Amino acid sequence: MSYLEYNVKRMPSGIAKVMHLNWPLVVLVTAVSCIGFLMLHSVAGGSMLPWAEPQMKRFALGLALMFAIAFVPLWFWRSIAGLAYAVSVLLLLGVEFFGTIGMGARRWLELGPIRLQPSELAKITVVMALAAYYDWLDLKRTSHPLWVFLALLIVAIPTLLVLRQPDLGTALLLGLGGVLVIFLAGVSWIYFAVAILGGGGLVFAVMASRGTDWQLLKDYQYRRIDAFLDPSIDPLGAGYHISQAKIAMGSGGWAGRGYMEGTQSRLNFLPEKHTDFIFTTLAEELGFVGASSLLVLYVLIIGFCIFTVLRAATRFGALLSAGVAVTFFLYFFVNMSMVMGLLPVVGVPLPLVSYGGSAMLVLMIAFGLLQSAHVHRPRTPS
Amino acid sequence: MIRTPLRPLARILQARQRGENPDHIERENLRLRIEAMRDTARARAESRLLVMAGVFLAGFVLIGAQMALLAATEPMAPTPGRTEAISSERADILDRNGRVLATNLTTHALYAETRHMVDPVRAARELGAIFPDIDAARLERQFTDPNRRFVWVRARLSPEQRQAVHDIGEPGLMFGQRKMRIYPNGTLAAHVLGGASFGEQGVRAAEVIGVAGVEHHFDERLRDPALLDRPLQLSLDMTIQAVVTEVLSSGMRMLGARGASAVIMDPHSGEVIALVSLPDFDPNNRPPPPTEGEPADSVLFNRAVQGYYELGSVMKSFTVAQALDDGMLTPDTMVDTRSPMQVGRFRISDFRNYGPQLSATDVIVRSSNVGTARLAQQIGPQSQRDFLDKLGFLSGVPVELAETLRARPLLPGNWSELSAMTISYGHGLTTSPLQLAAGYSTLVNGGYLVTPTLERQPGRGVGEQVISERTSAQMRYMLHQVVERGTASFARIPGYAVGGKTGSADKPKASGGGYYEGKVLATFVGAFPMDNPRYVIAVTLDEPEDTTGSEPRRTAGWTAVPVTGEIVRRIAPLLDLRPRPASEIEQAMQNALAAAR
Repeated sequence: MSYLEYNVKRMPSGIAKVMHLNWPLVVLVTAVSCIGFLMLHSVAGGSMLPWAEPQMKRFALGLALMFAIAFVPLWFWRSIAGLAYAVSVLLLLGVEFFGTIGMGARRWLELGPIRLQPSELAKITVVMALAAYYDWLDLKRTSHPLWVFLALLIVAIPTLLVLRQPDLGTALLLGLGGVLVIFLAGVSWIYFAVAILGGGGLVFAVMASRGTDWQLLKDYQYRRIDAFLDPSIDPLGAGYHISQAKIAMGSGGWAGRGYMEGTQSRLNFLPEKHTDFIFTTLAEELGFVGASSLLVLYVLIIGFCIFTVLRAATRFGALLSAGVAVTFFLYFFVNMSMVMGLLPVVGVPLPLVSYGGSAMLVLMIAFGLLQSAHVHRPRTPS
Repeated sequence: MIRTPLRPLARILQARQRGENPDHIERENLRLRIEAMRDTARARAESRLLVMAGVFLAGFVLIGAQMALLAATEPMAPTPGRTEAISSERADILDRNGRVLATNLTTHALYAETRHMVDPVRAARELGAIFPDIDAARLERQFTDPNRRFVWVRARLSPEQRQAVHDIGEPGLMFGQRKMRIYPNGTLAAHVLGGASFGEQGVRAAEVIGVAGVEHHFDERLRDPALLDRPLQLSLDMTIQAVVTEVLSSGMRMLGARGASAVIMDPHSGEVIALVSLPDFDPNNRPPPPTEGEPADSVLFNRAVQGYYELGSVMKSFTVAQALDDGMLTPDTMVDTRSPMQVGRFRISDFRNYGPQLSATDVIVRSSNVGTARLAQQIGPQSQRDFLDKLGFLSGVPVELAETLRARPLLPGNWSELSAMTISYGHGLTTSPLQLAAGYSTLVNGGYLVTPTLERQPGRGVGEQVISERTSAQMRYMLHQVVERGTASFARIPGYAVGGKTGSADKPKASGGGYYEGKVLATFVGAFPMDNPRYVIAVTLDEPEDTTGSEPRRTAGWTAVPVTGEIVRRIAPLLDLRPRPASEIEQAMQNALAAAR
């Protein structure tokens, strides 16, 4: 796909592009973010500070960024995909050596006044790089071992760097998101079947060897796995979040206690109530009705992302949009499952709702790229 | 795969015959082939997308189902059927002399059944007058909400409040019995007891569950219906605990320390007589766990059990004991103490230069780093590691507190000769004060392993013998000499024959890498009476500073030792020890040494 190829087709240009945006998606994203502002306002005890106001500013910035990115032709994003990937890997390396430590992990990079979390940026650059890679790659070679290996390498480098920080949650999203994009690109089933069987076999071997002579891990490592899988073993540590979150959600019931009436989360039973565990506040105050409404909004967002994927005729556009959808899905799926005790606790924010700058901006950039694919989709001449 | 050829010979020949250019046939076929490939790729991509959409859908359904489940499981009014099963009974906790450390008090919770209310508006207003912190308007809204049948008003009522609520005369306001866990001694032994809170709540009762300390560790036993009338007896002695807490906290205040801990243990059974960590808290009103800052700075942190620190020179005794036990030296063997000692790029030096040689006894009495490091060099890393492992220093000490689960010593990654030398004088290996007390119990009790316990267990013995009776006697003599004429002279309490070892360890920087100048963890660990030790005591002070002199003094000799001395001076009479003349003690020590030789 080249610059020329784009212009041959009929393509909206200039301000006319505004008409061709995926508008439902813009509305949905704004709606979810507004729910986020409400919850941050409530968690702070009815105050715009310290969380709601900065979050709104970031959202405004993110929205502007999204429009700016959407107006730039898709071929431009394709051509800088490799560069963006390289820069994000360099930034991750920078964190490794010069990063600042916060909450026991090295995640942030101080660049003058900006505090950047390169692991968040990597989420979108990996998707871009994979989309560009498969766009460039000859279709016939998609399932060739060498080219599959290269694609895995693109995913593995940033994932391992993030894992070293250590940030299990982000690494999980990054790795899983990348693998799902590779799956969508049409790599043969066999690889995935082998990977799943092999992984399952490894896990089985490790757990089965426990207590035998050929035990593969040390005892304390097994105990850590136990506590990770079943936090109730360790109710003062990891289990504390979950039990409190479940109590909060249970006390919300169907209709909830009412906006700003939540007790469990306001009384400081829950750490990280404004970030990873904000969903509990929502569920307690707005009940099942509020929580399921948020879920419906998320479903609709994913739906409109898939709509864009189906409309995109180029491989880059389709894979990029699909990658954005996958990343977004993983974000809230992991977060909600973790809060409701379906998954062990790993630090993943609730997208567009949790307080946090890097995550919000990166998601808006991702939606901007998807919008660009939507605006610049090839159209059949009328 | 059979493909249509790009240049089918027959068609080209036909085209030639017709006089046409055959090239377009190839172009046409190429286009068809590429289109076919695109179509398969597209079909494949769409099928993959379909699979993914299926996965998304499954995810949505899963989350939605869990949401509904959570919203439905805990209805607003607890169902009557379930409340019968909730038991709020919990056995008492006593000290070793049968005095109460934790017991239960009956109070009442207040709730409303709105269907039975006569005048909900008035009830809400009057409740607002009785409880100033209740939002009466909100209560009124809840009482009059047709969808609500049940409202919790308050978890605990005082008797006066209960009478006042009775006087409203509202039949819809009901009382549910509650058992409240109370700790009559307030902050005393807070870290051992931990605390309790309500678990599952019903209208008529609420579970009381232990959240930390022995309350958590023995939670099942304390709630076991068969054992309810049998209180849990701890090994702690409330009187001793109180005296130790008082002396330690005034010492901490006078020396401006950030925190302090003390452990007193019976070296012949491992029973812990007192275990204090300061600053402390009131278990009746246990503060929530901190969400920011260092967990180790929290009042909930049990320094004696969870705090693994590099404790410095107190570890020297283990090096010397191993050397004695291996027959490498006797208390009188001269050890090379030329300071500084160069090991590769690393330099080991003493607090002051003790001359070219010291006897093994004086290495302990004067606390020579160089002398101890030389001994460690002779012992060797492997043998040192094995010895410390046997004493339990590599694995963390088990005791009946929930907090010990995750507390583990920090070991060197590579147990090199250099780390063996630094470990010999207490750097490079972290140890908790409780573990240290257990280790010293082994040194002085004749060489038998000791596992600490907080449960009163009459007749409990010691473990396997790891050093000889002779080594133990020699160690008792040396540790006594440290107090008689060495670094711990302030612990010399006439008549009680205190012995022990000091340790002043520079605190490692929190950011990692290097040690703070002028921030010290001061420790004294010892036993008394030294001719036949009945109690082992370990006292640590975090960043103490004695400013009474011309310049600040931070070493253990000026901080932890005088505090320990004061503790022993006050508790020895309470522990039924009689002061004895110095000559009698000296004679007993000499006899023991002679018997050991």
